[in-house]
Amino acid sequence: MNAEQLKIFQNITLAYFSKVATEEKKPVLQEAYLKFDAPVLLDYTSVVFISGNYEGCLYLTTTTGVLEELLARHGEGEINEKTRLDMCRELSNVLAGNASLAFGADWTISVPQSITADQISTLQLPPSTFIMPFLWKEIESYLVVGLKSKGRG
Amino acid sequence: MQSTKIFQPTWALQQLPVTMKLTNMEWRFLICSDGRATVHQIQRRLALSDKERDFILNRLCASGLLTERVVTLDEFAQATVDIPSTQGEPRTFTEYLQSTESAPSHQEKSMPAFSPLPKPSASQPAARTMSLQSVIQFILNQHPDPTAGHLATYQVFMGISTQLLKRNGITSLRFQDDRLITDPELQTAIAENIQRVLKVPCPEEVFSQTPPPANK
Repeated sequence: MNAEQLKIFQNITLAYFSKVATEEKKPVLQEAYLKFDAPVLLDYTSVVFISGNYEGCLYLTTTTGVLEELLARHGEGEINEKTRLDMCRELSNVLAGNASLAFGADWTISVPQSITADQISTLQLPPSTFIMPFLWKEIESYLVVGLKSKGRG
Repeated sequence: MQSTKIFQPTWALQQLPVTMKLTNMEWRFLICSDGRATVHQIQRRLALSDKERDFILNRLCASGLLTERVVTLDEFAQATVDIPSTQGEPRTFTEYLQSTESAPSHQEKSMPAFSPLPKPSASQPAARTMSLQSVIQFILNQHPDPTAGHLATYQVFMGISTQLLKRNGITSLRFQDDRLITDPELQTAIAENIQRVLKVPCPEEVFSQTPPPANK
């Protein structure tokens, strides 16, 4: 993974939010940081696992509020757990497509998974993560890269 | 023109008096001045205005903490490659050499005007402390692009056991964070991972000497 690939991944993922709500403020990337304990996970998480020189995952974790905003932007009148999960799956597909575009040349990308807060314990995430927070509609979500050396637990 | 100049610490960080005090930004500027980065690159990295840059640089030079580094043509070309000329004509190496201001020479350098350096005890080896901010700045300095620097920092730290990091109170890391690392195991792990990721040795400048407690 190199910086150019990462920047492409950031830009095209944030561009999704800009396209959904063109009249709104664009999502703003905040200062990145590293995390070494429990991974940052919000209400809904879209994740793809990747394998190359390292193995790990890319995920987008966000809140119920963001998913409901996205549903409204898509003209979905009904807001409930089923439609929120549908929206999360849509984000997962976007994430997988973006990951393939940015990293596909060097990395094998898994099929995406959509995880709700009560399923978090099923996720096996690397212990060290690179967190890229972004603000959209005044709500913070996180784009996360988690890598580990192959064979390391 | 200050911005294309390259400075290096007059004294290794471990030689500085432990009682010496600088502002956070002065420490960061000093640590970034590794003899490779130009003033412009450091200014950009620390997001300083021209006025702030000049103020800090003047203070560090006046205190004898920074000395302008004389560079080879290759180093000069490397260091200035991303700096647009603001004077119309590109500067020549000769002009660069002639433009050096009154930076003290190594023969004439005087100790900074701070308290004298405490001598380590001969019988008790002084413990070395590693500055986390110096480590981060060293990694970032290897990469002109901030994202590449952040990614390299991640690659260095992801190779270190999270248990070891947590044992030293490090559960997250922001790029402006600073703390002193005294655990030799963590110091070694950081140095090894710098070598693994950046293919360069961890520089001595990230260490400082902590005098052992006096025996009473």
